[in-house]
Amino acid sequence: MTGSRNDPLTQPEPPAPASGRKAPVPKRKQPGRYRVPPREQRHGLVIVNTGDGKGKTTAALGLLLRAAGREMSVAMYQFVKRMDDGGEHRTAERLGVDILPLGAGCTLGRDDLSDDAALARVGWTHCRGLVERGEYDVLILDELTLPLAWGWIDVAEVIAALRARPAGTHVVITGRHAPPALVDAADLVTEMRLVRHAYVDRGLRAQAGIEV
Amino acid sequence: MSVRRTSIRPNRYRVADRADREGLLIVNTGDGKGKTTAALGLLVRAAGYDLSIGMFQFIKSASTRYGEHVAAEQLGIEIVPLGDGFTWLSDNIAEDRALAERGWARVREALDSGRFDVLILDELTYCLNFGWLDTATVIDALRSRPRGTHVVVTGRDAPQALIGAADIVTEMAVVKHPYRDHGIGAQPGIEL
Repeated sequence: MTGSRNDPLTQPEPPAPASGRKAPVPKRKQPGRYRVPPREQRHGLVIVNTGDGKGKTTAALGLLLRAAGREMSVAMYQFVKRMDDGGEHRTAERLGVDILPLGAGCTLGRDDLSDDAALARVGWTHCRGLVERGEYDVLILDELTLPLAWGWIDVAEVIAALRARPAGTHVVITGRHAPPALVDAADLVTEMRLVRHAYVDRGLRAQAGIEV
Repeated sequence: MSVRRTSIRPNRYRVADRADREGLLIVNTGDGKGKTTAALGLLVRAAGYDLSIGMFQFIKSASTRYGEHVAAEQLGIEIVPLGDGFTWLSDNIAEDRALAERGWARVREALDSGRFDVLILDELTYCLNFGWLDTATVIDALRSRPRGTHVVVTGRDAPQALIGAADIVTEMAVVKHPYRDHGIGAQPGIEL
């Protein structure tokens, strides 16, 4: 797709604004800045999206879209979740990207969660290998914080795997209640804060194309 | 041990007809990362159900071409930077305002046409905060949109009136930031 009319690499630099107002003005400082550099020149980030608000998994899906557009290798593994044909799964299939659920679904109202815990551990064993081998440029571990918060997976083990991963690989972890040790080990942490929520306020239900 | 698909049934969610759908006004604001990114995630979800999606980017110039533009194109979705080849935030406020107004006219047309199930207005809040567009006019237009249309607005410092009109508002708050904390700049595939 490079070389098209809108490619910033083939476009002349727009004149830099002289005003002091702050806003995200896309500027290119050096040629080739937008190309994906080889892994050894990248800053591999551990990114954590946590908080009670919406947008944790959703923002990770946005990263998946960006990475796919850059032809980086990217995958999302979803802890706890079971659905495998939501909107994101269908789109990922069209993009040739894997989004795989690892869980048994919603844990609310169920007493015996031993199977869920076992599934989470199997999932983590698999994902630890992916992290440590640097299998993907961008690896998204969706809802991993839940089994961490519930004590199903050891936080120290996760952090050790993150530290041991090859340079230049990004790992994105989403979910509520991110453990403080994980926040400490991360490079970029965003808390999604709930300001208004129609479903809480007006009793609406999840909608296809928005939440699933 | 290998990982397998665990789903045992197709999902029960179906896209309702527009008439039966609650069109949501969603606002992603705050100083943290993930405002535009989460809007892109909604685009990913909505595309999976073959909803018609329009994304208009204020602030960004027409020469902007990030990972999301390429991937969206693969999905048959056009992400439209409204810069028209001009630079936003020039020294001339009248020019900025004219650019914002031209962009808003395109958005109005898209909104009123009812062609879109999901309309994403990226970085719109800047136009409101800089006074290029009238907040009350914009909110009126969003309120009177065709039934069942979801609108997503992103950008810092969303005006209170917009928050009041919205159904879902999330504030992305910075906890740790690689640029602020370590001087690591934007990277392809992550920020752009």
